[in-house]
Formats: sequence, structure tokens, C-alpha cells
Amino acid sequence: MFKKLLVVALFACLLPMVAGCGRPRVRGDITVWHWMTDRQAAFDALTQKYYEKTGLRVVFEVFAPEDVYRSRIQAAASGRLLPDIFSPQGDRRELAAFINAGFIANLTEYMNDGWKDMLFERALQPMTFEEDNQWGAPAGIYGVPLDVNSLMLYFNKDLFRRAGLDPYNPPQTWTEFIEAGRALRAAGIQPFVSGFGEGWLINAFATSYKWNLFGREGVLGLIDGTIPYTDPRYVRVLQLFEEMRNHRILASGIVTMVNKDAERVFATERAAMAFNGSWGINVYNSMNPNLNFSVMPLPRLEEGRYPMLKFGGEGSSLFVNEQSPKRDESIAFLRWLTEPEQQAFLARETLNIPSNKEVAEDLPPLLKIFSEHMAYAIEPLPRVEAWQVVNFININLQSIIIGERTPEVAAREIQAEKNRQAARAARRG
Amino acid sequence: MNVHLIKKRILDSVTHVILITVALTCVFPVFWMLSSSLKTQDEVFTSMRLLPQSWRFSNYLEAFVQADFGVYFLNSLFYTVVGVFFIVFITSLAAYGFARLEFWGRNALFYILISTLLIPIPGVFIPLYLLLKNLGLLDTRTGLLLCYIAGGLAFGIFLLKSFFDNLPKEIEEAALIDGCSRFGLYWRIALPLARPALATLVIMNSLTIWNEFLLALVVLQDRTKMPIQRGLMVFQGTFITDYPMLMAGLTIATIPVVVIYLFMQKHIIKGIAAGALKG
Repeated sequence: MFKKLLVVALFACLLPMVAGCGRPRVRGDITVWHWMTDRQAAFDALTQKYYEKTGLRVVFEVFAPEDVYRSRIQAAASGRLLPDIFSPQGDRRELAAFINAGFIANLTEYMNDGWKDMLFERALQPMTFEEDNQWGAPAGIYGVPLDVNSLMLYFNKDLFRRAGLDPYNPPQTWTEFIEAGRALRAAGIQPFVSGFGEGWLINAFATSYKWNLFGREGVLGLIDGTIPYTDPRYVRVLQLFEEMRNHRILASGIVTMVNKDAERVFATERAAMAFNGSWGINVYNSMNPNLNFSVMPLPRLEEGRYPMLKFGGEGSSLFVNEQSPKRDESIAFLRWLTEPEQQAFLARETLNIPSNKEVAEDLPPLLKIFSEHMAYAIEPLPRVEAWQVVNFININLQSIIIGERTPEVAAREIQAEKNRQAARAARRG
Repeated sequence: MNVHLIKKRILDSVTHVILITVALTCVFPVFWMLSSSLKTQDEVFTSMRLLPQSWRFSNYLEAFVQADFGVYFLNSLFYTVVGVFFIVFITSLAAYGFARLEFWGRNALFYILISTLLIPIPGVFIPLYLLLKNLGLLDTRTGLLLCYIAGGLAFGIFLLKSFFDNLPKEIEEAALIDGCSRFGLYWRIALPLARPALATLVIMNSLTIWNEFLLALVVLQDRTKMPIQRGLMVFQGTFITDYPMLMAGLTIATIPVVVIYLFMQKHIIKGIAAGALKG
């Protein structure tokens, strides 16, 4: 037995020598931690180009999936071991916490030097803090968006034709959308699919119509409580889901469907329309290269008095470590990365909408449609709805789809939750 | 044919149908993995066929090269062999101590140790990261190994202590009379008798360390030190997963685990039968 143990121990001691014989680690002048595994090759190609241009070696180190990346960033921040460039990958509250802790550089003076003019304004908004914001972050622009995305309605041209619909004249209004859905159902085709099992996606769909009926001030009124959720316009938003249910527009199992599954349903031609983000182009092409599809904006409501805006904005973004000894070099690198040539390369390689609006002309056709609609993306508001209310809205939307609640009952329940949260906030002072 | 025989045959048939169904549900994911590893990406999604239309064995070579498995494979082998060796060595000594030695606070210490099983790994990421940083072990193989070894101790001690508790003391007493030392009792008597339990411990920890990924990604930065699961990451994009490559990679990563299991399955069954998994 002892001999066997000795052999194992010796083997174990020899292994690190063998294991160490791999490719040596490339140490860079600037280190970037990111989570975008599918873009590593494109980043490597760009860093090589940057090295040839400047002599500075930039290394992109990938840590995925995203939740592991976040854990790593939080751990590294606690140990003050953040790399030169990274992303906190959280909401504005978390971003503000990193800024207040002195981990993220304020890029305002660099952005004002012509940099922000070449980027989509909407992409910069989530990483921009105004004076006296609720999170206490100093005013300024803190991040650099690499790409942007927005949500639109994909449709399968072949299935449209099979149902007698004109793929070059997709539905523009809600009534036309319902009619198209009925024609598709009559032809034995599931009309519409989306990952409505994911709260954010069903909420994104409803949010567009909320803006269509309320406009910016109206939406702020809902958040502030000056307009109740029982307002007929909000009930109308909820009724849209009931209508889709009544006209059998929705794919079966949609309320429990995650977006990955919904993408598979659309890619395999088991549904004619899909509400999804700009990344869908890449996903559908990879799953089914023969899929003949296009995109259109969500059909507007005839009674909508305000523009039909889309959920979307910043896609992936990076931030510079304020404490990095290579702070200025890191900023210069990110600026170079957002210049038209590099952005066009990234768009070609990764099929994402570039954050540089000057590149839009050179994009593939579908991506160009998304890019053009960036002007209609919903802007971030200075105040946000309590997450408990948002969750309640999502659950109620799903309840309407399965016929558990009517829009009127759901509206009352949402308002009751809003009142509960308001009372709780008042108690807390 | 008498009624008793008919009843027995019906019962046997029902039992077999149930067992075959359960076996198929276990085997099907493995079959799907193998089948998908030989398909193209669009075939995975668009074809309902169980077998590939054309068998793309080149996926394996591509996966091996793309994922840099050459480096990661050796790393994982190192972490698994060394980690399991130290887990078995330390836990067997500690479990024997808890089972046979009388000392103050023995039970309290044992329960404190066992209670660490309740702590989820993601919950200790940040303190662990800071601890390793302060010890100068961040981004080192030693640092990661220490985490793996520490992570395997509580369960190992719990498992082996129950086994040692059930060993007849008379054998050890006879050895003591023959002049055997305390360590000799552990080394020459208890450890060989605990072979089935040790086999269970080896396979369980081998599986855990071989499949571990989250801790490695937090502790390590240098990709040349990363384990094999890191290689699989390259096939999972933010929005798109390359399923044929991922499945080919998974098959490659699964082979060593299957080999370990095949070698040790006899001991594992013995270990379970002998009460190694008794609480």
C-alpha cells in the first residue's frame, strides 16, 4: 500500500512540471477583464493591430459566464486588484457604488473632447450620472459602450407568404398585427413567440406600449404615483396581452419559455414572429442558416399619442480603473477601440450594432435597421419603479396570458402593490 | 403453468420495464451528447434525427485545438491527482482520530467541521480571494489546490469516521497486544480495511475536482493554469452556444471520469454495501 501511495505522490509531484509546459502567459501593458467569450478572437485581432501601431500590448482575459465574472470583479475590488479595464456588470446602483469607492475613472473631460459625439447618445446614458442623482455618484460620464442593442419584432418571410401575407408589407399597427396573427393561425402556423417566461422580456414588450400611450411625463407619473395603474391607458396595455391570448397569437407555453427556447422555436420555423434583441440575427443565423427573416418595429397602437419607442441602449461597455497606473493609456486604448475602423471590424466579426453611429452605413442590412431605430430607444429615467412593483407587473402580465386574471383585476392588484410599497417607503422615511 | 409462476413473470416484466425506462433516461443524455458532437450546428437545431446525417469526427480535433485542451487536460489531471491524494490522506488521519482517540471537545470539533458543509462555495468567494491574496497564493496552483483540499475535508472526514466507527475494536486491540503503534494501527489495520470507503471518497472527490470551474475562475488569472472546464467555456458565447463543439469537448472531458469510475466501481458498490455512506 505504501509503495502505491509513493507512486501516486511522485506522479503528483511530476505533473506540475508537465502541466507548466503549456503556452506561456502573455503579460500585457494593459489588462482587460471581460465576459464576452464569442468576441475573444476579434479582440485579439484588434489588440495585435494596436500593438503594431503603438507598441503597447493589451491583453483581453475572458472570465465567463457573466455571474462568475461579476463574482471575480467584486472579489478583485475588495482586494484592490482590479485590472486596468473592466466592467462591474451591474445596474446603476452598483455602478455608482464602484464610482463612489474610487474604482472607476470619470471620463467626462475625454468624452467632451469630441469622443462622445461619435457615439450613440442613448448608449452613453446608462453610464452617465447627473448632478444630485439618487446614488450620490459625482456627475459625469464613466463608461465606454462597445456596442448597442434594441428589441424589435422578427418575422419569417416564408411563413408570412404561406399564410398569404405580404412579407414586404408587415403589420404597422396593432390591428394589422392581430389580423396577421389570425391569418397565420388559420394557416396552421404559430404566430408569435418570445421568452415571456423571463420577466424582463415581457416587461420590455409592455413598456413600449406604455410609452406609446403615456409618453415620458406619463411614465414618470406612474412611477411617482400621480397616475394610478388603474388608469384606462394602463389597462389598455394589459388588454393587449388578453387580445393576443383571445386571438391565439401566442405560441404554446410562452409564459414559461426562456428566451433561448423562444429563439429555437423561431429559428426552427415553428413560429412566424419573435420579439427579440438585435443579437437574434446572429443567433438565428447560427441555428438555421436557411432561415429567411427580417425585422420590423413593434406595431404601434392606433390610439397611441406618443412615439412608439423601443427597449434598448447600451450593449456591452467597459470602464477604466481609476487606480490603474496605466489609466491614461487605458483611456486612449478605449477611444481607439470606438473609432470607426475598429467598430466596423467588431460589427462585421460579431454582428452586433456598433456604438459608433458613424459606422451605421457600412452595416449588414438587418443590423442597419436596428441601428437606424436606435434613435427610438427608450431613454433611462431619473427615477425607477420599485423592483417589487415591476415583479408584480410581470407576474400579472403572465397571469393575463394564462387567463388567470382579467386586465382590470390585474391593474387593481398592481396598484395595490404600488400602494403597499409606497407605504413601506413612507414608514422607512 | 401455475398462477404463482404467472404472477412472478408479470412482476418481473413490470420490474424490468421500469428499470429499462430508468436506464434509458440516464443513458439518453449521454447518447445525445455523443450524437450532437458529430453533427453540424444547424443540424443540432433543425434535424430531429437521433443520428447525424454525416458523421463529423473532425469536430473532436477542432474542439481539442480550439479549446486548448492539451494544456487544460494536464492541469486538471494535476489538480485531481494531488487534490484527491491529500484529501484522502488528511481525512483518513482525521477521521481515524475522531473515531478512536478520546480528547477534549472531540464531538464539538467534529460538528463544527461538519457544519462547514452547509456553506455554499459562491458565498465564500470574496473572503477566500482576500485570504489567498494575503497569503500570496492568488493565481497559483498551490492556492487553488489548497481550496480544493479544504473543500473536500468535511465530507471525507464525515464519511470515513462512520466507517471507522463500525470497525471491530478487537482487531486493533489484538494488534496493540502484538506491539503495534497507534500510527501502525491506522496504517496497517484501519486503512486497508477502509479500502471500499476510500474508493468512494476517491471517486467522489475526483468528480468534484475534475468538474470544478467556478473557484478556478475566481482564484486563477493565468489561463495556462486553468482546468479543463475552462476550455469548454470558449464554446459558450454570450448569446450563442456552439453545441457540436461543446458536446465534443464535453465528451473529451468526460472520458477520464468514466475511466476512473470503471476502475473503481467494484469498490464503490462494496463501500456502499459495507455501510460507508451510513450517517
